[in-house]
Amino acid sequence: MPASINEKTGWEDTNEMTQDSLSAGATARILAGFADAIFPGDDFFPPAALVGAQGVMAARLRERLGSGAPERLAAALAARGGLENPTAAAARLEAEDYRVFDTARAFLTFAYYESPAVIAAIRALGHEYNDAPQPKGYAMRPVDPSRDAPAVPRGSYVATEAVTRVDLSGLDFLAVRP
Amino acid sequence: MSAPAGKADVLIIGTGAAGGLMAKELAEAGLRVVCLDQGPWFRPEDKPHRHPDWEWQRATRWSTEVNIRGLANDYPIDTDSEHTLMWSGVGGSTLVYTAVWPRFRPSDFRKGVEHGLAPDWPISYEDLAPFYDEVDRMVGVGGVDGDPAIPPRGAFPVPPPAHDKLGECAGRALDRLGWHRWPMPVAILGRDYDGRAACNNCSACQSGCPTGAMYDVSLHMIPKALAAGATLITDARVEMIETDAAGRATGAVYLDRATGIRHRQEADLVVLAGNGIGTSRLLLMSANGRQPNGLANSSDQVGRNLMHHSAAIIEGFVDEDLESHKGVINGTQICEEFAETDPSRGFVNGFTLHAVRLNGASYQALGAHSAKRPPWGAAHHDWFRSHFSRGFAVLVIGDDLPLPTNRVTLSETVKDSSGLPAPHVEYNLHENDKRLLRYGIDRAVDIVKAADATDIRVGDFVEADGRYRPPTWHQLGTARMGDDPATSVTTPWHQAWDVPNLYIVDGSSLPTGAAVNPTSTISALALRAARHIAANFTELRRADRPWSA
Repeated sequence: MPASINEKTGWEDTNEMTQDSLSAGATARILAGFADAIFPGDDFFPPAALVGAQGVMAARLRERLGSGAPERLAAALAARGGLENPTAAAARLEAEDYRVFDTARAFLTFAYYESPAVIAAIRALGHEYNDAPQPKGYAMRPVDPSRDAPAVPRGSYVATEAVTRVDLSGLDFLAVRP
Repeated sequence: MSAPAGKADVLIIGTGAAGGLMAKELAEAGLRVVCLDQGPWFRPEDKPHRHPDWEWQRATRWSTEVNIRGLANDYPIDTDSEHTLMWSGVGGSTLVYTAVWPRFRPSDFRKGVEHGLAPDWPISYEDLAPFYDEVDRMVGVGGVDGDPAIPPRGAFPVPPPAHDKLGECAGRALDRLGWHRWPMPVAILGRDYDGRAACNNCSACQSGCPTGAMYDVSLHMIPKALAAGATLITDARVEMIETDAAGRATGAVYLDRATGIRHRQEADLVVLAGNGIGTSRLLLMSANGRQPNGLANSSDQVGRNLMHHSAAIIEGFVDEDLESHKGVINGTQICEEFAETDPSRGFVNGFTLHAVRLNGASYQALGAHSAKRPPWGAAHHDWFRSHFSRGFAVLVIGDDLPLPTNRVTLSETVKDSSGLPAPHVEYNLHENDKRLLRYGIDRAVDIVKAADATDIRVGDFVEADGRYRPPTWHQLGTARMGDDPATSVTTPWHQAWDVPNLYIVDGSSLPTGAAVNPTSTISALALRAARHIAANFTELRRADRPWSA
């Protein structure tokens, strides 16, 4: 099953502003604004910037997509008003350059949901949820065939000697044989 | 060129599901076995399961998709057709699979008789059945006896891991529809077995299993092979299989990836077990003056007939906590209601439906298997509250036809970290496969509706440009066995028609792919091949023509 990240393409195209046209402080504010636009927080969940998710996202953008990737994302957002209105800028980026937006969102999502404060929020919702899969795992009810298999088994198979040619006359598209 | 391991009785290239099992069997039979694997060992502690960033690692360094990982031990796949999933290293893809272990059914071996759009196997279900049973005991397959949808079989050695709430929900839905269902057989322990601890339901199966509850060739087969005297050379990337003037294999030339030094490993008999893509690639790279189209390729079938299974995944979210982040990822119910051909459905072949869990919070927050993105912004947190842990997926696995145009060739542009040509993969669905998949998606939707799902998401793997690019775990059919050297690459005993002491044993051997995950069948074939080689080695090591000829 595929990993839910869509990287590698699109990042080389985000050249609305040059990397050095934003100050470090502005870049930091824009990425923090983007993080809070995606995960603004509520009564249970903390805002993404408060847990530092944008920093983890930026480091991973750099690791996976090159040293200037966080700055390119910031520039793309800045060109869409990311300092003034982060939510509107994120929406514009999503509409105008989906691949860049989606990669940044995916990277941010991993960073957000692995943070201890967010894991605590998931637990506060009533879920048993571990920091990591091991070593604890989860206690679950062992399989009980009386509950986990059907009371009246159904199903059949065609035995080797019973396999015969099926009628293909209704499958006209098969006239073009592979 | 040096030969550090000395001449072997049997050289095995690739230590995955087939190669690892054969190494153990042949070494225990007293043969001098040398194994080459292009990757290293990956230790249990290398896996991400104990780290808070485990989901990030699973999406990157431990991704099942080879082109996302891009590690030096991998070889890249040059393709615009698919997202190829595999692992290169000791144990092969058993490090990162789901250990789903159903068997093929008798009709899967007789598609030539049934409809003629695919060949019959040269062997029957009954030929393979005893090896299925023996492998199940060797690897510790968990299951429940009595499934009427398959022939009577040997007892499962252990119960399956927990189903709990999600399995009950899927089971109720299937019962409501009146369709077949049964606990999915998995090579994962529901109780302690053979010195291994039972599964603790951590749910991160697809990053491998650090506890050993899931059958992993590197943990459970290779150590036994080494204990029996086999030699394993890691980081050994084979660049070609060599043959002599008589056309017999003499061994292989490999590059030590650590030093770049080239070595020759000689052997009386060579087993190639590199999976349906890697095996084809190496046969094509081994072309020589006598076999210019690739080794063992006089039939022109090497690399052709690639099958992956057609696939889709449908998610449904219910008003009930299913704890879908817990438990074995694909270890609850299998539905084989539609596994046999019924032309009245509008296609030949069949499919199975698997109830599947949804992984961790990040994965679910990104749309899980369907990758249908949830809302972001203010609506996201409400969405998470109403969806997290409340969903399950139905995986559709369809029996795709073997097409000569679905093919592995050598890339003209992409190379691996050693400078060797990457495989180029072309894969497209036949119209029959498309019809089957559409029908299968509708039936999967029926299941989630029968579970009273309020939000249904269809993941059909059709991307923004309209092209179907599935995740492809199963690499099958590209060096198929058969009775006729004109239409197959090997004999029914896996012996290359053109190279009498070369055996090809892996997913590439399968003439058809059935509608279920193939590792149990690949493993049973490997055991059967190993027993044949061990029993007849004195003759086979000198063979100058196919055994069955």
